[in-house]
Parts: sequence; structure tokens; C-alpha cells
Amino acid sequence: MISIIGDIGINFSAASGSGVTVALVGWLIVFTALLLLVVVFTQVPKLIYYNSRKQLKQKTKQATVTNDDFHIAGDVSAAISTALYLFFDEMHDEESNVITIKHVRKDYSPWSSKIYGLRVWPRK
Amino acid sequence: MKRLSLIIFIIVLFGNSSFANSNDDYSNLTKGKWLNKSDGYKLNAKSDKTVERFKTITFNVDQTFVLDSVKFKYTGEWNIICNNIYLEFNNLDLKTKIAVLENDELIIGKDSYKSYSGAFAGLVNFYEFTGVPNATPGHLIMVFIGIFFIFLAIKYNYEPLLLIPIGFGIIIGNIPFFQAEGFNLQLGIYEEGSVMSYLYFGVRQGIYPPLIFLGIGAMTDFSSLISNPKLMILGAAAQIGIFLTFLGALVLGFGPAEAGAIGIIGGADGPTAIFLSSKLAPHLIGPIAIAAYSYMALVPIIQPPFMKLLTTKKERLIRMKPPRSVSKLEKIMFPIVGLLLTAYISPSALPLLGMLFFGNLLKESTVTKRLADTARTSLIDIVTILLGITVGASTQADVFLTSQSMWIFGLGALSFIIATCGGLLFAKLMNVFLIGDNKINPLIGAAGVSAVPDSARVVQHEGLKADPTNHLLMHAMAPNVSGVIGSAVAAGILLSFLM
Repeated sequence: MISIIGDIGINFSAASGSGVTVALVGWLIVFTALLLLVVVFTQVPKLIYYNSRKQLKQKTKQATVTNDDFHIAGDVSAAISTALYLFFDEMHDEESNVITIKHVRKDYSPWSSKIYGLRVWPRK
Repeated sequence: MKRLSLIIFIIVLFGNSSFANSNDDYSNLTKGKWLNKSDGYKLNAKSDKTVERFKTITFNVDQTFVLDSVKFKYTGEWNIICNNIYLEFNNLDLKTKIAVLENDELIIGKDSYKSYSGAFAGLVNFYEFTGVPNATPGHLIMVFIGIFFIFLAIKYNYEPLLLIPIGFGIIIGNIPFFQAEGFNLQLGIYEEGSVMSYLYFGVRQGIYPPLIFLGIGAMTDFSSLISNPKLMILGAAAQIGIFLTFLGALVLGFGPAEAGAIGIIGGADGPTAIFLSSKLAPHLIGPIAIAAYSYMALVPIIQPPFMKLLTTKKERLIRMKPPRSVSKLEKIMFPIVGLLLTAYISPSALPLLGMLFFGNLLKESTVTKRLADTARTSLIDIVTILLGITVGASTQADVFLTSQSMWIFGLGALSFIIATCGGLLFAKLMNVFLIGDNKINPLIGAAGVSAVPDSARVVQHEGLKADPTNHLLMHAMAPNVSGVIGSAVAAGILLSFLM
């Protein structure tokens, strides 16, 4: 062991054996977990669209049907989203011109009536 | 018997006579307080450093005295025999001490006490409890680091949501205060019963990280990943940083559990790093968390040089196919299938993966909008505040500034670099097998290091530098979020191997 600072030093034998096994097996497991997700999610769209794909195949027997036929490309959906956003964004343009104080009309109530207030002088 | 009686008689006579004299010679004894400052007090159980502390003795006219040391207050009776002051403690475990008055100094064993007025002794006591006498160069260095974090966050906008709480936490944690082993003011984060230690409980026990993951799940859109699942592999490739750093830490002499906790810095995921280190090496949480978060903030500085080094101009210009639109059903299926697959392989990562996918289901189901909104706004904000401030405060200079911490920082930087290179090289390798417009821009491999969404942003930035019309952000988000899943799985694996 080559001492560097304090208790820390270089010792290559410490990483051999079980250390390497843990590192290698660990990385392989991470790989396997994500590879499984890749496999599953590559197949999922095929399963989901199996029926509609079958129907389409029957309708257009000569045409080749791929997964892409069922999806809208990202740039197209972005264009549609922008158009919808702009449309909904401008919808609120039609509004009343009163933008500050709104006049509120209240129904008459004897509880708040000024006729029966204490500051009214009695008639002589 | 006669001889013994004679000796007792002489002692009593002499004692009485000496006491009779004491009224003259020892009249100053009962005036004011006797102060002593001596070294040898340990700061706390974790630190080997010793400091100087004051001790006071008050002699009362009624022959009683009070010895006020750092930890305890001792009481007893004093008596003068043969010019010696005998201090008999009420605590029977303590032996009688003999004090001598020499040149206005009271000598007890190795310690010498000087007499001061009560008011002056009170001032000295107050001064000892202020930050000034307890400050060390370490405290000042850490405060400077805290201010630097805040500067980076405000000036350069580097992860301000993390660096501001952590930076301020560092300042809070390094306000010096009176410390001594066995004496608890309930102020510091490592002192039992203090407010900060209660808040730190969430870090120590790994409570905050799963809550953060819940919020991340509720924020994350996995559609880019679902639309192009092969990019998920890049997230796995970048995790090589974790395992190589683990080996590096073992070589440097860290224990296997400590090495595992240090290695996870390469996952570039703060909550995962805290979660794993709280289980494997609780004493290293502070340096590991600070290293993980500070390198995450420094992703825009660390990654670009290696991205340029490992890719050619031609590769950086590769345009990728726009991602297809993903159906709602696929988005709902992803968290459920993802949890089942990953948690069955690495059940130890269940708290992280469970919360991540649960948060995502709240979002994608579209029927729990209120819950998803809470998870991705208020909840994650509250937990981030608590996590940031306590992780920052855990960097108390006397515990944090060690050679181990410096090595952890070095290994952390190395693991970030290895992870970035791993992702980039694997993307290049994938291109060997991919044909036509299926080829991927290797820059997105760098986003496999997790650090959501900063590394994806860096990829977008570097992609735009090569071609101002080539937007890689959405493509980079796929390895980026798969890096989160990958690092959580890796944490679970390390936990099950090393705990």
C-alpha cells in the first residue's frame, strides 16, 4: 500500500476479487434492467396497434403498413400544437372593455339602509 | 494510642490556628471568581480536535465552593490546613483536591486560577459563548464556499434551486458556537435535540430522496424515451461511472460500503446519492451530497470538453429522426411496467423507483391532476428546501474538512467524467450497428449521466454550436431520464451487495 494523505493510500489488491465482481455484475444488472425495458417498449406499440393494423391491412391489402402510419411525426404535432395554442391564446380578446372597476349593483336591504341609520336627524 | 491522640491534637490546633490566620491571608479568596483557561477539551465525539475552555471557582464565606467546568457544576466545602486549601467535593466519586495560593494565583494541580471580579467573569463567560473565540480557519473556508455556491447560483444560474439552499445551509452550519464533548447546547446539526438535527433526520434516514423522486416522476415526461426505447441503453452505459469510481475508492483504501456510497456520485443524482450514503456510509453523507450536487451544478463546465474530445464534427452534425407521438395508453403503461421490471431486478431501490413511477402515474393518468400538481410543485419545493439547507448545514468545518472529504471530491469529479465518456462512447458504438436515419447523435450519450435536465440542456447547447438548426433536447431527454432509472437501479444493487 502506498500512503498518500492520512489513512488514504493506494492499494490495488483491495479492488481485486469481490470488488471487481460487484462492479461488473452490478453494471450488467443495470444494463439488463434497462435492456428489458427497451425490449418491452419496442414491442408494446406493436401489441397496442395490433387490431387496427390488422383492420387496415384488410382494407388495403396491397399497401404496406408500418407503425409510422399510426403516428404523427413530431414536427407535425408541434405545428398542430402551435396552431391550437395560438388559437386558444387569442380567444380571450373578445372581452368587455371594463378592465378596472366594475360597477356592482346590490339589491335593497333594510339592514344596510341609510334611511334607518342613526345619523339621520329625526323630523320635527 | 497516645501518640495518635497527640498528632490529632496538633493537627486540630494547627488547623485552627491556620484558619485563624486565613481571615487575613486568604481574605481575597472569597472575593470575585477564580478563572482558569486550559486546553484538552474535545469539541465533540466525532472530532479529535481539542480546544481551550474556561473553568471558574467561587469560594463562599460559608466555607462552600462551586467549581464550574464546561460540563458540570461541582459543589463542596473548602478548608485551610497548613497554608493548603483543601477542596472536598460533595460528589463522593471525586477526590479531595489541594489548592495553594502563590503570587495571587491559585494553583490546583497543573491548573492555575486568577481572581477576577464577578462582572468580569460574566463577560468572559459571554465572550466564550460567542462565535468569535470558537471560529477556526475551517469555518471561514466553509463560509467562503457557501458564499461561492450562492454566487454561482445567482450570477451563472447554475442549479439555483439547489445551490442557494445548500450555500446558505453551509453558512448556517459553519457559524461557530461553543462546543465541548458532553455539553449540548442543542444548536448544531450534530447535536441531539437541536432543530437542525430534527430536520436532518430526513436526510439521515433517507426520507427526503424518495419524496424528491415522487416530484421528479410527476414532472417527467417519458414520451421521448417511449418513442425511441433504444436510447434507454445510453442511460445504462453512463452508469459505468458509478462502478469504476467504486473500484477507485476501494483502491484508495475506503471500505466496500464507503466505496459504494462514493461511487454513486457518478450517478449524478443528488437524491440517489443521499439515499445510498444514508444506508451505507452515514458518516459520509455531507461530503457525498455536496460533491454530487456541486458537480451536478457544474455539468455545463465538466461535460463540454469531453463531448468535444470524444466526438468528431461530422458526428455532432448527425440529425436524428423526430420522435413519434406516444399514445396515452403507452404513457400509462410505462410507470407500471417500468416499476415491475426494474423493482423485481433491484428491490432495494424500491423506495426510489416506487416513488418515481408513482409520481409519473399521477401525471399520466390525467385523473389525479391535483395530486400530480402537489407532488411536482409544493411537495418537491418543501423537500428541496429542507434537503438543501440541512445538507449544507451538515458541512460543519470540524466534521467536514478532512482528507477523506477531499478524496471524495476528487473521486466524484472523476466519476462524472467517466460517466460522461461512457455514455458518449456507447452512443458511438451504437452507431456502428445503426443504419440510415436511425443513427444517433453521439452527443446525447452524455445525457445518460442523469442530472436532469441540465445534462440534456448541455447536449442541446453543444448540438446547436455544431449546427444551429439541430435541436437535440428531446432526444437527449430519453437517456437523461433513463439515467435516473439506471442510477436508482445501480443504487439498489450496491445496497443489496454491500449492506
